[in-house]
Amino acid sequence: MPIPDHTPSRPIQRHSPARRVALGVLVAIAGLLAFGTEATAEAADSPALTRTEALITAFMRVEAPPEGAPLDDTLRARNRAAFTALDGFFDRERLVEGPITPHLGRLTPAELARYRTLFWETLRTSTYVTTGRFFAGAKHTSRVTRTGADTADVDVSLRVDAKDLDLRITFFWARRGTEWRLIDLAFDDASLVRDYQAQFGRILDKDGPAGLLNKLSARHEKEIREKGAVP
Amino acid sequence: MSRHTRPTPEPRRLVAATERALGALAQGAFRRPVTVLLGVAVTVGLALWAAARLRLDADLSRLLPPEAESVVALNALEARTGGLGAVTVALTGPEPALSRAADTVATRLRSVPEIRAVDDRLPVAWFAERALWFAEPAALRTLADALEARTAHEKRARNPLLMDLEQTPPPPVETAALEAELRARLGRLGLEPSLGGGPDGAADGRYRSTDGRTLVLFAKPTRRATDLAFARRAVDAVDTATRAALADVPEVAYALSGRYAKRLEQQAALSADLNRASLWAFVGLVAYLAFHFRRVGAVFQVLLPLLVALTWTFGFMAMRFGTLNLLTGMTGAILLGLGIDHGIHLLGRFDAERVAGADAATAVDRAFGRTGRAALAAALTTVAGFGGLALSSFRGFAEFGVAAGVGSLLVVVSYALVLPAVLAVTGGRRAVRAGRATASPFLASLPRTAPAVVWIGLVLVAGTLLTGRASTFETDFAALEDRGLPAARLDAEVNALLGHSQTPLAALARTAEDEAGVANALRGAALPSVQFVLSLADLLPEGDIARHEARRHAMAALAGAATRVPRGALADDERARLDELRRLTRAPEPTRETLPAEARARFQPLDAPADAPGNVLVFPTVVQSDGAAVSALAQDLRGVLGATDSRPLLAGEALVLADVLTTVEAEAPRVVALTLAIVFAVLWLLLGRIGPAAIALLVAVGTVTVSIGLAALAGQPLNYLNMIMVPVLFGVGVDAAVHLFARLEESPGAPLTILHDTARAVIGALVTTALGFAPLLSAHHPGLASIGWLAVVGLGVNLLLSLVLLPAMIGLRIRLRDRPRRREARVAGLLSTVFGAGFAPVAPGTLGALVALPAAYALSALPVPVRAAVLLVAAALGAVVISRYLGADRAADPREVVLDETVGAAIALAFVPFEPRWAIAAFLLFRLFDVVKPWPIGVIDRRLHGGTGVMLDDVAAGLLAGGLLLGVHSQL
Repeated sequence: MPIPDHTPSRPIQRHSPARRVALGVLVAIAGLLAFGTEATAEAADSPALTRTEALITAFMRVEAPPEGAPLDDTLRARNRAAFTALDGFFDRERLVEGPITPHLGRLTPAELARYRTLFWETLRTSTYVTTGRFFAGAKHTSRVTRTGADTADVDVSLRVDAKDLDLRITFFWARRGTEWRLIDLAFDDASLVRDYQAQFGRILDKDGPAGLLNKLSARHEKEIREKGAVP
Repeated sequence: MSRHTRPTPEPRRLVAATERALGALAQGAFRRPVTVLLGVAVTVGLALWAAARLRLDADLSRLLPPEAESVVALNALEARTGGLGAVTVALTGPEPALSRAADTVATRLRSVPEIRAVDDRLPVAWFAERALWFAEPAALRTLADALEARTAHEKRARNPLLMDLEQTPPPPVETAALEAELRARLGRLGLEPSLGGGPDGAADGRYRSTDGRTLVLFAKPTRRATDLAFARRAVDAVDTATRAALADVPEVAYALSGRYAKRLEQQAALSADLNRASLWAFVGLVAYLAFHFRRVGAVFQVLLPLLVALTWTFGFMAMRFGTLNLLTGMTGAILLGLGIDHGIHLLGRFDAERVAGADAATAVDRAFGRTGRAALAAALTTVAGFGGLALSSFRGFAEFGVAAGVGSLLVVVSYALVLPAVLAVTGGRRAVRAGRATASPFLASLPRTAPAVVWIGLVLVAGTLLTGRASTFETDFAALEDRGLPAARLDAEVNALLGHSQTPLAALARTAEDEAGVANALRGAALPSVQFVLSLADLLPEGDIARHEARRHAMAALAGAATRVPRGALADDERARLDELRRLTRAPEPTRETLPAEARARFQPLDAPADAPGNVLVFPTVVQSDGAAVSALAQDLRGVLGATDSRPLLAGEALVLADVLTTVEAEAPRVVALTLAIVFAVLWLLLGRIGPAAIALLVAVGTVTVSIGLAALAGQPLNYLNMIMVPVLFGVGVDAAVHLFARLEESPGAPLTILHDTARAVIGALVTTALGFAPLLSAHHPGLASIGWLAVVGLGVNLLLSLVLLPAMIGLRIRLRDRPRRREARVAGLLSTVFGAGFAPVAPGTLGALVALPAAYALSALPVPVRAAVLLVAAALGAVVISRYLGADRAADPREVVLDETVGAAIALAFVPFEPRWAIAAFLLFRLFDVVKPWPIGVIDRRLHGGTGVMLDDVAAGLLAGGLLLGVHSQL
C-alpha cells in the first residue's frame, strides 16, 4: 500500500522571533487544513467510511438459511441480487491478481485463466454467506484511519462476544473511476491478499499448480454443496 | 617340674617394698576394721554426693576435642538452627478429622519451648502459585510466542473472507514443556507444581501416606538429639502437646518417631536389657561366689570392696569430668569385670593360708602382701594399658583411659583396705574348710608334655590369627540397634514416605550470596553418595540480575500473550490451561523476604533476617549410621567445599561419627603400640624378670587375638560396642599369669600345688567375669548381645590359655632353664631345640616341623627370590647354631635338635601356595622324606656330620618335597 509523503515541501525561512512564531502558527494551521483528513481520520462523511458501512450492510443482506438448507426461489433471487451488489464493492482484478502475482511464472496461461475464474467464484461462494453471519453476530465501530487522493483505509473494531474475540478489520479502499472498490482486507494487520499469497506459495511448492486448482475447485464444490445460501 | 631345684631369686627391692606396703595397709585395716570402715563410709558418702551430679552425655562429639572440625561445625549449626533432626509425629485416622487434627497438633507444637519450628507440610501451594517465576526466561518467551501464534490463528480463522485451503490446525495452548522444566526445577524441593487443575487431596503439601490415612509432622527441637536429657524433655513435651491436641479426636491415633524418639527408645531398650542382664549377672555372681568359696559371706567380702571402689571411681569422674561420655559410661562394667578377679585371688589366697594353718592376721599379711602385690601388678598393668589411652589426643580414649586407670587403682586400694576390715568383722576369724590339695592329671603330666602343649598351642594360636585377618568390623551403628522397635519401624516408613533421609548434613554458608555457589559446587561434584542438595537460594528463581530482569520481561510478555488469546475459541482443556496460565502470570515474584516460614525454617531460624545466611542441606544416599560410609562421604564433601571460595563448614551428627572413626584409625596403632610397651615395662618391673613379663603379655595378646579369630570364624563381626571387651580381655588375660608367677616366685619348690591353687582362683575369676557378661547374650539389643558373645568366647579362650598354655609355658621355661647341657651354649640350645619344641616326649621332629607353619605363612607373602634368600640364610645360620650346640660331639644328631626340621619344612612349604591342602601335603611329604631318607637325603645324612650334616639332609628333604609338589601344582 503506497504511503503518501507528508513532508512539507517548502523550507521555512529565517525571520524575527515574533514573526517566526506567527509564521509557525500559520504553517500549522495550513498543515492541518492541508492534511487534516489523515491526521484526524474521523470524517463521518468520508465516502470510504460510508462505503464500508454499506459493504457490511450488503453482507448482512445475504440470506442464510439453517445449515445446508436450500433456498427457495424468492430467497435465491434475493441472494442473487445481494451477491451482485456485493460484487460491486470489490476490485475483482486486484483481489484475484494480488494473491497469484508472486507466482505467475509457475502457472501456464491456461492454468492462470482457470485460476482467475475458480478463485473468484470460490471466494464469492465461500465468503459472502459467512461474512454476513459474522457481522451479524458482532458489534462494531468504524473509523477512517487514512485517506489519500484515491485510497482510504477504514478500521472496523469488532467484538464477538460468543467467541470472546476482539478484532480490528482494516478495509483498504481504492477509487476506480467514480466508485470506491475494496482492494484488500486486513484482520489485525494481517493482509488478506498477503495471506493468500503465502498460502498459494506453500501449496504450489507442495502440490504444484494442479494442486492449487484442485484445492480451489474442491473448496468451491464444497461451498456450493454445503451452503444452501449460494444462489 | 616338681624336681625344680633352682634357688629362689631374690625379689627386687621395689617388689619387696610393694609387698610390705600392701601387707602393712591390710594389716592396719584388719586391726582397726571399724575405723577403716567408717572412714570408707565417709568417703563413699562424699563420692556418692559427687556422683549424683554425674550424667551420661551420649553425644559423640564429646569424644572429640572441642577444636575438631565436626564439633566446631556442629556447635555452629546448633547455634544457628538447633538440631537437624526432628521429633516426628505420625497421625493416623480418617479424613477430614485427620487433617483438622494435624492442624491442631501443629498449632500446639509451635508453642512448645523445646521446639523451634514445626514442619507439617511443604508450601506446595505457594510454590505452585509462583511456579512460572521458576522457569527460564527463554521458556517463558517460547510459551508467549506460542500463545501469540494461537491468537493470530484464531483471528485468521475468524476472518470470514479468508479461505484456509491448507486446513492449518491451530497451534495448541501447550504447557507440557514448561511444566517439565518446572518439575525438574522444583522437583528438587519435593514440590512438583501442576499448571493444570487445582489442589486436590494430595496436593496440599502435607506429608501423607499413600493410603491417605497417615499424616506426618516434624517438630524441630532447639537443640540436638545427642543430648539425651534434652531429647527426653523434647519428646515428652511433644508427646504431651500431641495428646492434649487429640483429646477430643478419638478417631485419630498418634505415634512418635524421628531421631530424638529413636534415641530414647534405643536407650530404654538398652537399659531394659542391661537391667535384666545385670540382675542375672548379680544372681549368677552371688551363686558362683558362694559356691567357689563354699560360704555365702564370701559374696559380701568380694563384692563390697568392689562397690566401694566403683563409688569412688564415679565420684572421681564426677569431679574430674562432670559428665560421662559413651566410653567412660562403660567404666563401671569394665571395672566390675576386671576388679572382681582381684577379690577372688585375694580371698582365695586368704582362705588357702587359713587352710594351711595360718592365723587370720598372718593370712591377711600373706594374702595382701604377696597376692596383693600380684593384684597390684595386674592392676598396674591395666592402669598402664589405660594410661596409654590417656595419652591419646582422641578425647574419648583419653577420658576413658584416665577414668579406667584411676578406677583400676582404686579397686586394688579398696580391696587392700576394705576386704581386710570386712574379713576382720565378718569372716576373718571363722574356721575355713579344707580344700583339695592334689594336682590334676594334666598338671601332673606337664613336665613331659609341656613342649608339645606349648608349640601345638602356639601354632593353633597362630592359626586363629590367620582367621582373625578375615574378621570384619561392623561400622554401621544401626546394625547394633534393635530395628524392630516401634519408633525405628515408623522412622523407616517415614523415610520411605519422604523419599529421602529426615536428617541431612548441612554446609553452613557464610553469607546468603554464598548459598547458591555452595549448593552448585556440591551438585556439580555429582557424588554418588549424595541424593540431592537443597539451599534457600533454590527456593527462589535462580540467576543474576540480568537474568532476573529478562525473566520479568518474559513474564510480562507472557501475561500479555495470555490475555490476548481468544479464550472462547479454545477447547475446554485448553481453556483451563489458559485460565491457569493467566492466574499464574498474575503471581508476584518470589523473594527471600516473602518465602513462607515453613520453607525458610528448613534453612535458617525463623527470627533471622531474610538476608541472613542459611544452611545448604545435603541429603546423602548413604546410611548415616554407617561410620565407614559417612567417613568417605565426609571426605568427599569436605573436598568439594574446601575448593569453594567461602570454604563453609560441613555439619552433621554423622560427621562427628566420621571424625571419631578417622581419629581412632589414626590413633589406634600408636595407642596399641604404646599400651603394649607400657604394659610390658610395668610387667617387667613388677614381676622382676623379663621372661614372665613376656609370657604374661603373650597370654593377654593371645587371648585377644584368638578371640577375634574365633569371632571371624563364627561370622561375628567386631563393632563399636563389643570392642570394649578388648581392654577387658587384655586386663583379664594378664591377671592369671601375674598371679601365677607371683606365687611361683614366692614358693618355687611346689609349682604343681601353686598351679593347682592358682588355677582354681583363675577359674573363679574368669567364671565370675563371664557370669557378669554372659546374660548379655540374651539381650534383644544386637550390640549388647555381641558384647556377651565376645565376652564369653574371649574369657573361655583366656581360661584355656591360662590353664593349659600358660602352665605349659611355665613348665617349658623351667625345663629349658634346668636342662643339663652346657651353659655357654644356652642360646644355641634354645634355637636348636626351637625354644624347647625338641623336648617333646613324642615326635619332636614333627613338632619342630610343625613350628615351620607360621613361619611359612609369613614367608608366603614375600616374593620368591626373597623367600629363597631368607631360607638360605636360615639354613646357614641354623647349621652354625646347631654346630655350636653340638660342641665337640660332631657325630651326634640329638633328638631335641629340631631346628633342621623347622627349616626343612619351611623350605618344602615355600614351593607351594599357603593353602590348607598344599600346606598339609608339603608338611607330610617332608616328614616322609625326612624319616625314610631316600637318595640323596640318605647319602647326605650318612656322609655329612656336625651342624652342616644335621641341617643339610632336612634341607634336601624340603627341596625334594617342595620340588615334587611344585611339579604337581604346575601340572594341575
